[in-house]
Amino acid sequence: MLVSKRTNRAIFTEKNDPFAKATARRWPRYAALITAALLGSLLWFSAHASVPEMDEVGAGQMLLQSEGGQPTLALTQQSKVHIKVSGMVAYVSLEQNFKNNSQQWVEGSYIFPLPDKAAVNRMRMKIGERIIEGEIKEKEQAKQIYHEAKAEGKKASMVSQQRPNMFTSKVANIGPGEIITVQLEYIETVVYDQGQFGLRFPMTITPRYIPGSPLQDSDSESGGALVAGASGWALNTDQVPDASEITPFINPQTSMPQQLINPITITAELDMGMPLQAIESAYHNIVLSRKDNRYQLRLATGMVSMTQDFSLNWRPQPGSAPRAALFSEQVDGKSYALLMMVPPVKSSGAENEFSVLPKEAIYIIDTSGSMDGVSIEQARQSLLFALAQLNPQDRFNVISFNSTTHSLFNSAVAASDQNIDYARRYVSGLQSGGGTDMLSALQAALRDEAEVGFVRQVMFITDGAVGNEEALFTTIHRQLGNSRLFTVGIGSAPNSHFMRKAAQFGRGSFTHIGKVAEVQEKMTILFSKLDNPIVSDIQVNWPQGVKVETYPKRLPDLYSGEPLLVAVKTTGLQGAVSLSGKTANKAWQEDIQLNGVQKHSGVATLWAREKIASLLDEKTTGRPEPEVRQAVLDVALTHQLVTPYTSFIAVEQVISRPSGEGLEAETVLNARAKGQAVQTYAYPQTATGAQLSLLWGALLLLIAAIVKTWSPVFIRDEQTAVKGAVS
Amino acid sequence: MIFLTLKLIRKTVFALCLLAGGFLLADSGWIYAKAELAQQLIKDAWSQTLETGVVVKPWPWADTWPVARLEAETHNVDLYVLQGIHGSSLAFGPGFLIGSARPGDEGSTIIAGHRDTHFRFMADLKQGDLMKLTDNEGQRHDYRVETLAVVDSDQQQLFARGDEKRLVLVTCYPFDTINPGGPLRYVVQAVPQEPSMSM
Repeated sequence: MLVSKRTNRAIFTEKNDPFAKATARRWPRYAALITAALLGSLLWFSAHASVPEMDEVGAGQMLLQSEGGQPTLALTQQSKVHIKVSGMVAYVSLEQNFKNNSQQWVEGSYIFPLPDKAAVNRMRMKIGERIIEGEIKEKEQAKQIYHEAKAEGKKASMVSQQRPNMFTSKVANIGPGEIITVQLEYIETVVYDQGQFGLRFPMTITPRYIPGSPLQDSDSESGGALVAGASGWALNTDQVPDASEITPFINPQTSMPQQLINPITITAELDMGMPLQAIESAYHNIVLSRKDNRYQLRLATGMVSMTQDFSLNWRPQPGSAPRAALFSEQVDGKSYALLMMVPPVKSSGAENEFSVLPKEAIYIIDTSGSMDGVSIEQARQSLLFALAQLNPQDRFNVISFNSTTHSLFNSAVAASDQNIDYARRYVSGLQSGGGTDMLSALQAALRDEAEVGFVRQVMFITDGAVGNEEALFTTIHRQLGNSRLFTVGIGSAPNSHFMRKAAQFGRGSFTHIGKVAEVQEKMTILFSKLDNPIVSDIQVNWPQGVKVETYPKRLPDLYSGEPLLVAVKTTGLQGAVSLSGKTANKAWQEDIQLNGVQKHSGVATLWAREKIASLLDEKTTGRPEPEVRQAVLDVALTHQLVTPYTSFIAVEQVISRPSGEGLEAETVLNARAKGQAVQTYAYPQTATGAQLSLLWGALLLLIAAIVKTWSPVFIRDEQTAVKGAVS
Repeated sequence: MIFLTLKLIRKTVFALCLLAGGFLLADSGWIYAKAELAQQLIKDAWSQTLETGVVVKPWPWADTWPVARLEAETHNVDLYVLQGIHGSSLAFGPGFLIGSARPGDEGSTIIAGHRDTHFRFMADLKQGDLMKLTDNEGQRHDYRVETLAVVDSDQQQLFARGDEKRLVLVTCYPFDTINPGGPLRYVVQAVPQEPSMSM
């Protein structure tokens, strides 16, 4: 919308304000009172305009002009990751090198993604040849130690968790020209699905949409919630109180081969103890070498920008795909085990409710601003594929959302050719832009119940770029009813944590699509899961007389090709464990011998990580947070894990920054996800409350004047009467 | 007795109204004064920045610093742009959106200001108006106003287009409402202009 020049400004000043004039006439009489009021307000302001602490100054990125060359950022980050896979477990070490290119002392902070099931269990700070081992502390305590060290001029680093897949590294007192390295180690189970192994290393964070109104702080004239020392572009809101900590700035530059943004080297080693048929990296070129059953790989170009998730998949030779595996580890006299088992499910011919009953399919598609670029195309293609899978007896609806939610039909309609054609045209015309009001879209999708005789499946196509994940999980948990929710993660840097958990609470499954060429393959797999038998009511019975603590607490239903994964802490590993479940119309039962299990390091850590995830889920399903927090703390401190309530902290005891030198806060910019349109920002608050104050102030003074001068007759009479009575 | 009470109520109402009214008037006065006076302090910090090439804070406890100078001669505008668009920088001057393109760089340079203090002049901007932005190395960049638009911030987010060099000014809209919290924003986009002889 264009508007022409505007001239009709009405500016309220004391000169032309009618209210102010009225009061002005009576000012001399109340001079003393007004002076008092002004003095009072001055006092109020001096308290109101609180002075931020020197070492908490606003974060941002300072650019330095090198002589004649390209400007460089004051703080740059370079990563190095090595992934070692052994059996079902990946051991990953990640190095983040923070370089201060400026002449000043710098505090750096970097908000970065990690796999959503990563168990971060080691951190070290490296300064040249010196290595300082990090310790796990309660989050607030770690923060305090860090701030003290920072103020004293000691080098310190802290790694904390914002979301299961989002962490922050902070490094204090990086000297001019100096490099400080933060080394992290984490363990995760590799994904095993459809006979194929895989893992994902996320590289950057798609800007999250932050719903809610900004929390008010003392700076009332702006209505903004300025967080001292915050490193994000969003203000904290009532719905996302930590918004400023999960919204890293995005580098506006486009990554180019000669200009890498957050460069990273990736190397990996796969040792499955068996020959592999294929190793594929979906989005990066790799170079492979083999020695017996050990495969080594690295990036073909050596280094890439952190613009797209690194996704690696590998497949064993046909016939050698494992169906069950058991790994164990002894730590402090306790036994831990990890049990993997693929239930024997015939992929066709079996009859169950899913394949027999017609479907009511609800497709939700995210058309928000973060989907702008290649993502919206991937989403449209996925949805068109889904529409093509509908059978004439099915029913369906399409819901698109950004700031507002739009249902194509009022409720699900028959999958007639005409309706499908109408939906195809609607989907092809969808454009991206606007906010991400996921809650209303989910509510719209989960509001209706399926008609009798229909199986209700909700498919959610999104990049998950939101900051209020927990509220969404709670909604799914409470309103799911008989529906099942399947998530399709779209884009170069989707929020995998959201995909997995939404599908878990939705009793469905999830998949990732990172480029249009993958739509066909990935959606086919997802639809085979939707249509094929699931194993439900899974029971794991441990031998008699053995005490066990297993996670996940409630075993999920399994779709075809998905394995059952159970982590257990036990008093003994003898005898056999008995597994059972229901597939279609028949029961399945199977025993696995516990004797002779493979010893494997990291199993105890994975058990602890599963336990923590399980506890955090309880928060979503209604257990009070203080209880959850205490339970998580117990596990995290014993097993040395980073959680929402615990952080790693490393402090060098030497004071390196001279007391006279200041400290500049700098944040590492995240790279823009590949193919994604340029970052969007929320609009700032751009009006002061001055006019409002002025108006109210004048109004109140007027009222005061009226009250003082205007005495109704009856009051005056009564006053006389009172006087008379007294005399 | 009842009459005494009435009198007391009247006195109390009077005192309260006077006190609160005084507070609020002083509050608004303070906001305007702060907006005006701070620019003077920032001016000194800016000249130091240009001389020394390092960031200079206008006052020791400031959590922002000048990053550019914005001029629009036809509108009598000469403002120092501060780092960041948080409340405590916008109170003292227009703010540069961290993460948007640096003045003179490829991409959108986004600057926001309060519609009732520093950016009041935006109401008078029209197509073709010339503006001048000086970056922190003293480089001058000229712009010409191309589009003026009202957007709903509830519906849209601010785009920092990465491809072309442009200047984007943002303030609240409408200019003459009392309530500071409305969702509408006035967005003016300006494109680079070769400096002409007349400027």
